[in-house]
Amino acid sequence: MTKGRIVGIKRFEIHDGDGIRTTLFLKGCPLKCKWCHNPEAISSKSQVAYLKEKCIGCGECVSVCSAHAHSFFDGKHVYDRNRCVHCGKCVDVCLGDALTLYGREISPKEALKLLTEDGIFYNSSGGGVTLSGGEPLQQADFCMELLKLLKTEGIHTAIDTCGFAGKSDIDKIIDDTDVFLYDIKFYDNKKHIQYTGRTNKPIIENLKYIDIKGKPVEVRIPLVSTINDDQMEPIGRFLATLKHIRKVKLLPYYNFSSSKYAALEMENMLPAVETPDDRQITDAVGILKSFGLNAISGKE
Amino acid sequence: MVNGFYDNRTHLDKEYEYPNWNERSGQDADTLSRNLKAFVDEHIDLPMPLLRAKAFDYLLANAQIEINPHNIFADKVNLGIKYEDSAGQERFFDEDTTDKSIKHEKSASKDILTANLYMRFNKEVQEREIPVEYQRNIQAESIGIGTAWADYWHTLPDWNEILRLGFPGLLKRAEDIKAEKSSDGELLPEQEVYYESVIISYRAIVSFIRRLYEESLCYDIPQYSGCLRHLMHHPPETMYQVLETSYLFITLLEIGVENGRSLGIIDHLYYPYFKADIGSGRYSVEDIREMFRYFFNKFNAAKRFAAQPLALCGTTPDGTGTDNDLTFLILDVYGELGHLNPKIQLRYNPNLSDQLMEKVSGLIRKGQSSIVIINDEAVYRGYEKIGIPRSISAGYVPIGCYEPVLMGKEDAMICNAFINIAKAVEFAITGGSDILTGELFGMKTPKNFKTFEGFYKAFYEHLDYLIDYFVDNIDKQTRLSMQINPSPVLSGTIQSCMERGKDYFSGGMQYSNTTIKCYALATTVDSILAVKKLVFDEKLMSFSELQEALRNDWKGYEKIQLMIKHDKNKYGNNRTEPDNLMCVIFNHLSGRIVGRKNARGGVYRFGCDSIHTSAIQGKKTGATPDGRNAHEPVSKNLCAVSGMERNGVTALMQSILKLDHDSLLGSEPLDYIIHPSAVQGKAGLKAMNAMFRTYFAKGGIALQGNIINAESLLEAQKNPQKYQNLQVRLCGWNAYFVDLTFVQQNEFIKQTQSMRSTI
Repeated sequence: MTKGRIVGIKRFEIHDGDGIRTTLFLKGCPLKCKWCHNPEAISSKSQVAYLKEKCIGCGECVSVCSAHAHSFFDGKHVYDRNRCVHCGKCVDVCLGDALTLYGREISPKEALKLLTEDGIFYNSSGGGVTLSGGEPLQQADFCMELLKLLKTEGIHTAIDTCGFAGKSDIDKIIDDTDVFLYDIKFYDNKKHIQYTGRTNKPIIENLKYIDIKGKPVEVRIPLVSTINDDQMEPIGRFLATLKHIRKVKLLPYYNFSSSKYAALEMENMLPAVETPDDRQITDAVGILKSFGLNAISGKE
Repeated sequence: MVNGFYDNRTHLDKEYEYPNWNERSGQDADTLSRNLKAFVDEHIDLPMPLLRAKAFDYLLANAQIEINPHNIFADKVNLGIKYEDSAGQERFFDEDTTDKSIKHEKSASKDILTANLYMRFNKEVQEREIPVEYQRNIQAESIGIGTAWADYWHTLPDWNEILRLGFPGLLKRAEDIKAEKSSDGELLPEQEVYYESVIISYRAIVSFIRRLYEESLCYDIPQYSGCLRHLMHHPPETMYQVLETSYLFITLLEIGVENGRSLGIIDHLYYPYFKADIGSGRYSVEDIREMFRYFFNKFNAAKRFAAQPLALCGTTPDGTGTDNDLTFLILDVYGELGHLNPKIQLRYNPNLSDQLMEKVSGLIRKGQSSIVIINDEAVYRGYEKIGIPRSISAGYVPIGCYEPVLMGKEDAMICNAFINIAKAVEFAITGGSDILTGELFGMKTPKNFKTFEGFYKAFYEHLDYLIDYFVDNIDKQTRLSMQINPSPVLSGTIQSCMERGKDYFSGGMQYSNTTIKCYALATTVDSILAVKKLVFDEKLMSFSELQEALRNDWKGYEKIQLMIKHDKNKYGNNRTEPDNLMCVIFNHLSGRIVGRKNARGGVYRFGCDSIHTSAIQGKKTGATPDGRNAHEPVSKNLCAVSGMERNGVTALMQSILKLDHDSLLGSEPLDYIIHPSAVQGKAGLKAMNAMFRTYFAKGGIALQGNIINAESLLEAQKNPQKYQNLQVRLCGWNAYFVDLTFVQQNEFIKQTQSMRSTI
């Protein structure tokens, strides 16, 4: 049984597919989008986030850490990320909730138990479970096993993917995935490389492949002012050639994640741009609609 | 005539705060107060029902009145109520009294109302008849346990009868029955007194309407006068007359201590009049919409205490649930005005349309969180549990905050006691005394335990003692109803009271039930598990160290306090151990209360809501083993301890759903708090609808809540002037956030912050 490395689970989620859903966030992503609002999910390795503002100096972490990653210097708590082995013991005892472990390992069966806790809300709302990330297809074997278990339980499944994956990985999960939530950031490949660090060729090809297979797809476009707001027309033209795009959702960029970058001591590359206003969103929706697409604002 | 609401608004919103009494129309409030007192002293030898009725008549005949020409509904009578400071909610929330009679004085300033009679005789009669119990009750309140009370306040008149017969018709019915029984030679002396008290009261009402009518002639508003003239002689026939009747009756009823804690299921009750008006062309839909603006605005302008409830929807006799075009019209006006008063109680059944449920969800999301939803099916099962079949319970009306009552058939006394059961944990730890004052209350138990089982057993001994104490005290008080608070006005609307010649509170109703509410269950569960872990399982402290820690409010034990607060094994997160313990304690309580015979020929009902008493009694309660500091609120309703619900609303729901809601006829609203971003857009409304439906399909009895984030509350705390209209559902009703005390605001913020949904 393959273990998955996860960031966390979000319950009562209504923006990751239809109805009331539980979303499992998996760790690791091949893209490095400059606007990423889930930095804790980028690296495939485990990480401990430390919010020093929340530390109450109880010292419990020091007593349980065999790697000596926690210490006190001049009465202040110091966390040495390089020594940390990510065992999570300090997180469990931290009395101020200042520490969080991203990257716990979990078996598909354990995941199934957590993901079905809200099962009673799925049927009445047309909801289910969404695998997201990071990029879930980075852990395609785990996803495959988990999706099979979910389908055995009769639960509706969705995969929220950036599409940067091998075809074989898509093949592993496609049969047990009811709907794809598929991110498209740019149609222009140069820009894609500039802002995500990767080519968009496999992304475009995989979407065509999924479409040929006849799976319903909800395309999601993060709308980042001055960065990809010129991409609506080429994206719309491309999507119009596909048959199973049931919805195109525009997700306005919010610059809310800087504290997460700080807690993980990661470089913050968030673009210093404003959240698109309603007019910008309406314009973008209008362009996509002009291609006959069922485009909506993510705010709706 | 029926227009201009928004043009007249400035004359409507403040009409109670700044009244314009016709000084020549009667005695000013101070004179009236003195004269009423003299009048009562002069008639003190009369049987209490007659004294009440005559005092009522004296007031209505002699008080100053006012017709507001900018309004379309007349009701104003100068009883000296200071609306600007006394009828608002803020005082109520700050209230901390040890004597219930003080509450009434303080919260309503009803100096010259007949409520004064209640206050006077409640004290006098209890001190004379049950002096020991009277003192014990004061002690129980002073050390944070709660108060036993004969609840004369939460009542439900029979609105069907009021609208069917009108005021003159109710009077005639009383006269006819009295005459009939008298001619048959069947009239007992106490019945004669009773009928006479009803007759005096309704003559007083009809005469009062005549006074309003004559006053209205000073203004050139024929429809206004026409409506009042009609109601002097006939039952209401139009929507306009129905609304005037409802408002007048509520106002007049509240001259006593009793309050009509629902207007009834108004979309059904008023529907025939609505259809007739539209069908005949008498009024347009827009006219009626405008009438409701005036109507609802009056409740808000009068700052009616704890907000005036009204109900919508409900199951029809054939078992299907309905909403109608009037339901939507009412919700439209309600949404448009954005007030917290009146408050809406929606009777839910699965047949209600998605359109309606999403409309209601939209209003709640917009901040109109005074809407509470009650599940018909759970209520029916609750009534079955006390032997009342669905054929009867189908007509229940939610009253007060969310409590079901059978209109015209049941006096449920929905709030006879709120018991802080965390005190049973405290007494098990101290051996029976209050940890803050050292006062002994009730039984003595050992002060140390070698095993958890010993401590756990002592907890149940104290719990049972507390329940039995309350039952005994309530029974003794309610036996004195006729000496303290007969209600001829209320009884006059009830057919069975009239047939039997007996009062609403004393044998007139088909079902005379009693209701006990227990709260602080989460504090209790978390505390028992904390004792088990700290003292017996992990032996982090001895039993005597625990006693010392609690006596010293955790001083010297701060680290242990933090550890136990941080412990994840807390009720409200869909976790097995704490939820199972909750079920055991809950079943123990319901087993001891539900269906237990009371002193009025009825039975006890059980509920778990606390309204604001969780803060009031928490203030008098010492530190608890779950890490709570002394004086902090204890847990409310069946909620988790504030800040301990770490897995979001769906987990909290599943914890609560493990309990047997069929035992909760006394009610228990689940308080949900959801971040606005989690339910935005159309998908959000659908999700709320699905969440409500799921909760009810799984047996939940009632839901209330807030779609709100902690950030806006913190901002409102800093800049209250900018957030004057921010409503929060706090307990059984809504409040403006800025009106809450600082402690209550913080409690609310803490709960909001902890309702995160990521694990």
